[in-house]
Amino acid sequence: MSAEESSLLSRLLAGDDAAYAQLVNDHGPRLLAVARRFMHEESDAQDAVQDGFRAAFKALPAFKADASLGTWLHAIVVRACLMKLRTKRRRPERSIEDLLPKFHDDGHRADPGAAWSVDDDLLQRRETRELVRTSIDELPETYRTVLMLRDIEGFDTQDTADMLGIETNAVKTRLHRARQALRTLLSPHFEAGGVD
Amino acid sequence: MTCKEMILFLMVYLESSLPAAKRQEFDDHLAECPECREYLESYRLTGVLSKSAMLGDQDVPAEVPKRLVDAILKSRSPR
Repeated sequence: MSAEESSLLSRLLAGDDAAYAQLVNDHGPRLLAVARRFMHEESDAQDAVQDGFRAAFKALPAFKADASLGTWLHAIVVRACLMKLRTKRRRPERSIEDLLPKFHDDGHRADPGAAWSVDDDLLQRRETRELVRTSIDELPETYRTVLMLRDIEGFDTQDTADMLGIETNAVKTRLHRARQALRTLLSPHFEAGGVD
Repeated sequence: MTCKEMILFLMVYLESSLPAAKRQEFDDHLAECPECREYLESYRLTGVLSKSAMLGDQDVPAEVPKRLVDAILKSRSPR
C-alpha cells in the first residue's frame, strides 16, 4: 500500500468526511464500470456499487493493508453484484449443451468449422466489442458468471469457488464449458475473418 | 487420443498442468489434426476477444453520477 493510500486509510478510520468522499470519487468510476459488466440494468449496477461501498464502510476497521484499497473494493463490489444477480428473476436462457462441440461416435468432431482470422484492427473495432459482449450475455447465467469472474475480473479458481459457494472442480468445468460455448457463438462471425 | 478427448481436456492442456506423458499425447494429436489445431486457436482467441471487449478503459466513466455519490456517502453509518 502506498504512503498516500495509507494516509487515506487513517483518515477513513478517523471518520473524516472528506476522506470518504475521496474514496468514492477515486474508486467509484472504475467500480461502476465493473458493476455494469455484471448487471443487465443500469439501476442494478448503481445499486450494486452502493451496496458494495456500504459493505466496505462497515468492513473498513477490519481492512488488512496487504492488498490495495482498489483491489479490496473491487472484490466487495463484485460480491454485491453476485448477490444482486441471485435475487433477480432468471431470464429465459438456452441450454449450454446446445453450444458445446458435437462429436461422432469415433470421437471426431461433427461440426468442424474453418479457421478464425482476428487481427488487431478487427479486435479494436466497436462492432467487434459489441458482438462479443452480446455473445457473453447470451451465455446461461451460471456460466457467464464464472467466465466473468475468472477471465474478465481476474479472480483465481479458489476465490471464484468461494464467491459462488461451489467446488473448485465445478468452477473449472463451468469455465471450460463457458469458453467453448462462447467460441461457438462467435465462430460464425470470425471464421470468415469479419464481423457481420 | 481422439478429438473429443483433446477438446474435453483442452483447458488443462493450455494451463500446462498435465503430466509430461499426457502432454506428449496432446502434442502428438495436435501435430496430426488440423481441426484440433484450429479449435485450439479459436478457443485461445475467444479469451483474447473477451478481455478486449470487456476491459476497455473507455468503459470507465469520468465520474460517478452525483446522485449515486450522495446516496453512497449518506449510507455511511453515523459515527
